[in-house]
Amino acid sequence: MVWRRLRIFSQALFFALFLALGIRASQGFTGAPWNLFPRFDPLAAISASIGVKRLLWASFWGAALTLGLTLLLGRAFCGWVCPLGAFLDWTSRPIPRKRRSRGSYLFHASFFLLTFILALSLASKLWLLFLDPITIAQRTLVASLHPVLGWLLRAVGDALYPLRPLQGLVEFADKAWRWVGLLPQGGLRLYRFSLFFLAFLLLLALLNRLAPRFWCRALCPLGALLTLTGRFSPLVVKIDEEACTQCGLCADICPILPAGANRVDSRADCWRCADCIAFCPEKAISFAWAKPHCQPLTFSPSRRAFLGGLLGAGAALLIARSDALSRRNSPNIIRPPGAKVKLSLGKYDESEFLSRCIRCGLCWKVCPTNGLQPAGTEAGIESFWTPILIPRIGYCDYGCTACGEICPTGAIERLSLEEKRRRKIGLAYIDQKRCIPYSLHLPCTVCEEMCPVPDKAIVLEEREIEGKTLLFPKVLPERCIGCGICENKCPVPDEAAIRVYAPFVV
Amino acid sequence: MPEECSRREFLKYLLGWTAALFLEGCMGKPQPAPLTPTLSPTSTVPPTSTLTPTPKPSQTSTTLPPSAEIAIARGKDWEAITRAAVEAIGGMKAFVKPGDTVLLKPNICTAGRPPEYAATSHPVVVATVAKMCWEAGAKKVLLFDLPFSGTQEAAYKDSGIADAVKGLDVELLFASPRHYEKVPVSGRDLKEWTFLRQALEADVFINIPIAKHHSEAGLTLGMKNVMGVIQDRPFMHWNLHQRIADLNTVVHSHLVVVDATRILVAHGPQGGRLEDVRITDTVIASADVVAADALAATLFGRSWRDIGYIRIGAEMGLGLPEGRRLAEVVL
Repeated sequence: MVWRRLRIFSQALFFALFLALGIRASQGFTGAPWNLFPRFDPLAAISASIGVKRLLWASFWGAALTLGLTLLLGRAFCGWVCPLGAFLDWTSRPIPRKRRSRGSYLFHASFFLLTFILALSLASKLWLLFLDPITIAQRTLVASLHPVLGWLLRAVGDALYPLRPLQGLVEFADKAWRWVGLLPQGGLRLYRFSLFFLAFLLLLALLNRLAPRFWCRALCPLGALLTLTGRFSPLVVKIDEEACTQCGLCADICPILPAGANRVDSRADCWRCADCIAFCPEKAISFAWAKPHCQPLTFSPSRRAFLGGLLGAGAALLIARSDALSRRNSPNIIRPPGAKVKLSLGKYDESEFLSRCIRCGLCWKVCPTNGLQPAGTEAGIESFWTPILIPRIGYCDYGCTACGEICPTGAIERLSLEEKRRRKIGLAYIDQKRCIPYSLHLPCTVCEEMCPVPDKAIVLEEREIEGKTLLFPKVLPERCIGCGICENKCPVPDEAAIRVYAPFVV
Repeated sequence: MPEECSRREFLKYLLGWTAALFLEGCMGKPQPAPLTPTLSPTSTVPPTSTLTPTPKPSQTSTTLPPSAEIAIARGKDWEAITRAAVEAIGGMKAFVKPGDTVLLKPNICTAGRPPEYAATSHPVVVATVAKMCWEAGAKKVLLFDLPFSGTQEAAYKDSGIADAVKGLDVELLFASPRHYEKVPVSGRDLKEWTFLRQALEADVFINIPIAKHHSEAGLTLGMKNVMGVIQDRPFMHWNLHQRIADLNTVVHSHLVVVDATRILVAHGPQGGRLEDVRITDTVIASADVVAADALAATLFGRSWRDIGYIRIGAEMGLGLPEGRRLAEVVL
């Protein structure tokens, strides 16, 4: 029983750690250890390294540690550490009463996906990495679960606040939530596509109905990578032949054993959940160290899966290239300062950024103004879930370098505050048809007032119009860094009268 | 029988709960602070000079203290001049009564600007006022400003104010929508606006602006500083000066302590260039926000007549731009 209990405890512990790190990250804490989980994700690290064609030290050590432990312990990461695995464990029927069919081709999809993802990385495209379990968990926590919790806590507080005797309690609770990070600094942070992320998580939970932790055994590309890595692990489950009565219970409850087997054996797919050890009526099963040998695979990386992955990646590349957005950048792609993009004449080269960004969403999380949001279709399928600044939602805070500090792969560079304050991420344009002084001849200088550049990238020109002297804002392109606070604070409703677009070099 | 019993019980409960709700309604409910200031000796000085504005109804009944009505203190020791300025107009005891809840409203308009950039009220001045409140017997000292750029947490920290009031038991308030309330405004332009509840409810509202340049308002001083306790600030700009004056009819500054230890003379309100900062070693204190602003404007070589909201404030009888008994202290 002890191994199973330990495993359940370990899952809970890592899950709690995952929540705590992810939630606290919104409190102005940046860098390690708040980005711990994505840093220990070998699939993300390998993909990003292949993507940029050199070793990325930023994510090397964490990934190496996970892979090293997998060499020793097999796929124990899936059973003991992975937060998504824990969630899917808890949403599966705890012990399946009857094994379900396992012959379906679908069960080999994880190797197909792994090949697909790594082949795409070769072409510096990381967009399928959104199927990485750590980034799934991280993104869903950032974009859906945390905001929902925040809303709930705020709503409860709002409901109780009018009751005078409870006000002190509500204020105290608020302070506690703020300290924990459930109510982030600068107010609740909400994200685009939050419903989608939540729905995706629920879909994975629903797949548990096909078989317990169906995602983990059949689809997870990280699981496939760890299966291959842990194939020679010396940690095995050993059956005491004398005590075994061939009752078949272990085979019934094992989540990965193939159909037809009547008792467990050591396999590369085994995530060392220790259920067989715990439930064997004869106590005949135990963990043991064995001489490293090649363990059998239940869901083997067939040649078909491998070729399918390569073909799929090729097709996906072609399809992505056929997107019109591969010709022209969308004007609304404003990347966070420090994003590895290159500006040259009329072109905005994002290839390095896109081959490093693992779409974990931590930068959206730490952005104090909520301005960093997941990109949707505006940048084409290659940019799905990468960070873009949406100034109408939040601006790039002049005193903040959080996104570069939290980024686990260095897709967003760490900038000093001085560097960040000089980094052009966009350029503001005044829409004179909407701007209040230009169109309505009424006074308004909010954009100039908000501009954080010390000598002001927006200046006011005094001009006479219809007998009135008015101040007209004007952008000085050489000074504007594109932080977007002008667009954010512009009092013109809906579409602001001053808007920030992707920068260009002249 | 059971049916009859349950109906009777139902009616009994109904009656009981109605009574309970009614009684709850009789209990102290949050009341908005009176729009006119509470009477305290110096905050409601009746006009004495030849320049007589129309006094507000509640401003006529108090006696005049023997002290000055506005003070300007100069000196290198900023804590000392803050104390001296407030002492000269009667001391903090004239404004804060034992058991009062005090709200300090420094100007912390943005995060990311350390005090030397003169974008935010100086931590020494703010902390000194906080200390004086405790010395006068305050029950609670709150501090609030909502920056337009950056989070409140970062603004409190970057301005040096969070550190300066550490250990002084000052409660830094953090804004949440539930802390705001829409109240009627009897202004010339505004009819209603959303204000921070604590600013309306505090017994004493101490306005601690930094004197600095402001691109649209000309200068930002005490009256403009009240914009920190409202919501929907960008919408003020359609008629900025009148609306600032209107806000001051709702939020009365019982005491104004203008931090002019260093002033920002250009690129306000955010600044960011040390070249735009002048060290002026000055603190101005008054219970009359119009008088304090008018005097502070002279530090920039400007007249109160040039600054729209001060002029309008004077017209509306919010205070006296000239003619207050002035005490000058040089340390």
